Amino acid sequence: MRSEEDKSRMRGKKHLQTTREISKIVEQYYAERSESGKKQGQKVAWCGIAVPKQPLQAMDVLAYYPEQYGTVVATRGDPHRFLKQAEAYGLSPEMCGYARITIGYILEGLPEDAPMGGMSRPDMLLVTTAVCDTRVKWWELMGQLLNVPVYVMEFPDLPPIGRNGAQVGQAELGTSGHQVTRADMPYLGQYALSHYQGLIKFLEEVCGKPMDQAKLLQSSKSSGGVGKVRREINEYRKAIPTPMGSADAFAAMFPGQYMPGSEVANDFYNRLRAEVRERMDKKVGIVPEEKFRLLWSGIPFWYNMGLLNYFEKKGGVVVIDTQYGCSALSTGNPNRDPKKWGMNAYVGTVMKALVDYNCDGAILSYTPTCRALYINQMEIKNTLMEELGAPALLLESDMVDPSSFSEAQTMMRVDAFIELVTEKASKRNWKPSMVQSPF
Amino acid sequence: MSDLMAPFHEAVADPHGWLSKYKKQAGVKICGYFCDYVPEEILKAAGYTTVRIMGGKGEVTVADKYLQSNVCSFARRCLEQGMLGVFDYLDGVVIPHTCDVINKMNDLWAYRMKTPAFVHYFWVPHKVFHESASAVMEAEIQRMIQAVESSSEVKITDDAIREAIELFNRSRSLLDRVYQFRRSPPPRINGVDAYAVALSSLIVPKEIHNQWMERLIEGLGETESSSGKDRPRILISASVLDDLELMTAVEKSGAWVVADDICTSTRYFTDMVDNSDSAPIKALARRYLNKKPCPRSVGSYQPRLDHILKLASDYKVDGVIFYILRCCDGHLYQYPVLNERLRKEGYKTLYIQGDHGIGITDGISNRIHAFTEILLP
Repeated sequence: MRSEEDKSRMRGKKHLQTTREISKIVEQYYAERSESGKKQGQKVAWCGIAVPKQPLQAMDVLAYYPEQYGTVVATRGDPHRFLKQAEAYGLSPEMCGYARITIGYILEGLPEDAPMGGMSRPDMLLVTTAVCDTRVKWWELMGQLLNVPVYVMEFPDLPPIGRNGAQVGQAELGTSGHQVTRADMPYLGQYALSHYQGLIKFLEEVCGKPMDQAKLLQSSKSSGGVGKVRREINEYRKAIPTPMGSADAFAAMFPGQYMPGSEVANDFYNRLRAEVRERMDKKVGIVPEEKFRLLWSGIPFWYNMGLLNYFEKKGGVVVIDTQYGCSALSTGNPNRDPKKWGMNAYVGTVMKALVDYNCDGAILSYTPTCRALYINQMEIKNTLMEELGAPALLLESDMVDPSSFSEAQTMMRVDAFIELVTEKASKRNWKPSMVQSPF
Repeated sequence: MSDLMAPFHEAVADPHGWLSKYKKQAGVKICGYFCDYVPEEILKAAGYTTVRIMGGKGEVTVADKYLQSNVCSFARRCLEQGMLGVFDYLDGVVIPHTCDVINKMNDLWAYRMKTPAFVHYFWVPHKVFHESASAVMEAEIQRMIQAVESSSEVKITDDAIREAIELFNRSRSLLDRVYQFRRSPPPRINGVDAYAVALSSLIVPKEIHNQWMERLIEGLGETESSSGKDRPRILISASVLDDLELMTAVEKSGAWVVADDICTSTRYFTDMVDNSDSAPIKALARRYLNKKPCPRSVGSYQPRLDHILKLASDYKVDGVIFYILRCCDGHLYQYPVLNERLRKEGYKTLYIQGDHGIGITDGISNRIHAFTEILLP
């Protein structure tokens, strides 16, 4: 058990006014769902993170995201309560922390005293094959335990053609490196589309009504609008000093990730854009003078978001994070682009973000229980050094299980890395990429 | 009997040595492949000898820089051997998208390794049993044909594919017949020998291996079932198992290994390709999609359970050992439900967490001994 002092130190500090509202938005999100979930008629779905949100909004389906709920439990509750249940059931500690929390929550019978009231009992489970295979097996197991139908939407995730590794552009940055189709496999695009159509059909069957096409169109338009504003905000993050870092950005991803077509998201990002723009124009940074700029790759340690602020105390900023999309309005820096972008687009997007956002080094969160991301991290470290001479620090811990975090050892390594990267930043031999004005 | 078994054991004891020697003698091209979802018949139709990539025992040193400790130990060992040049006799390798780690194996193999010259990625749908899977699997087989043709400069004809199907079906059928000799109490072939036959089928060209099996079956047919005391009969469910250590440990403990659910054994050979189909590619797609599934596939729980229960009933199994490699997520997610169901059916079970490079430790052997004791009448 961690002391109150530890918990307070580990809590992340946000610098922007707008992002401080996120707690309320998340609370409101769960409160509304808890209320609606008890109503007759409205269908409840537990969804994987990459499930398209627009059809759910158009069908008035109440969506929960078990991965997101894992972060809620990790930041606001006692994750061990559910992790212990899952392990007693036979799930090994080396398996995904998010999955173990959710399965433990189910095995406890979806208790009402779970953080933020928990997730309402689902009528259906929806997941895609994107990112990891783990999620598919996790959803199938939940389907068996809850005895509800599961729809798995095929979402191919392809490696680059040939042996020269990734070709990375704006599209890959927007999708965090997922490639659904390839020039020599055009049929996979059609295949993925047929599974999207299958999702619509599945929703229609479970909800007992046809898809509201007008609402679907509206929701898609609103989501697109939110996406554009988020890219504009990211563009401003390139500025030196950066007006917004990842300590704020990780919190700010919630509305865009989980309620993209909503008014709340629309309003939130418009206000955030205004605040970020104003800070950029007035050259208000996160620290008085940026001694080094870092990139964060991978899932953050949700129980210790204060770690991001630690770099600020040492005069640096974690400027950009790649896990939830890091696309800006422009990409590339002819003064600094490497010859090769690495073995696949997951590696390539991190490389590109490091260049685009004028970073000196990278923090690679090394979550051993997340196989799909974990496998890429070592390659990212290797390729950053080989192609850009940029140092990276691998920090190993689970994303939701605080017992896996060794603070003394970690902070010793962080301090050594800060020394290295500060030295490196003081001798930059590249010209920074410039912020592109949207006007 | 030991004479008939000798060639199988020789191939299993030194697969790379066996293949290198064979390549030199026969002047053939050899193509490796991962997992049991790659239609080997296409490679055979282009004249390749096919070999399953296996991890073997040993440390991971050079590959540790690219694939670290919390990843499947089988994949780490494969990469280690690849980087050390153990697979230098290969002319090509086909790597399917089966699980996350094998998928990344393709990325690493293509980007980080110089050899072999031909590296092909084969995408396998997750929803193997879904109606939409056939068309995409057929398209992937067609793409593989084009890639193999271009690399080998050999035209792959339908007739050559049919001939390969015939050869591979014959192998499947013979393997099944060898395994059937374990139905009798006590079995006419022990688990170690039976598994050596299955494993060597992943190494030795089918035309040679089939001849070995024909001779063995003839020999086994003439053997009387021994009247010795029967032992507990065990089924092993595992991910990938590429040596005889586990089977040996179980049989040393005083039990028989009479059946298995393993991707280097029954999941590999149980299902036939329908060679009466006028379109061989369709037939191949159907077979590889509908074969006994790897747990990575969507909807694989029920067919796996059915497969295990049928084997357990046919082979009069007393207990089931789950041997799952650490970090093998597909198996780890399915294990609790499968285990619960088998126990409900009255089977005793044992869970062993494996590490591919290390293999069977004294601790594991002791647990197997204790399990066998529980199963004794």
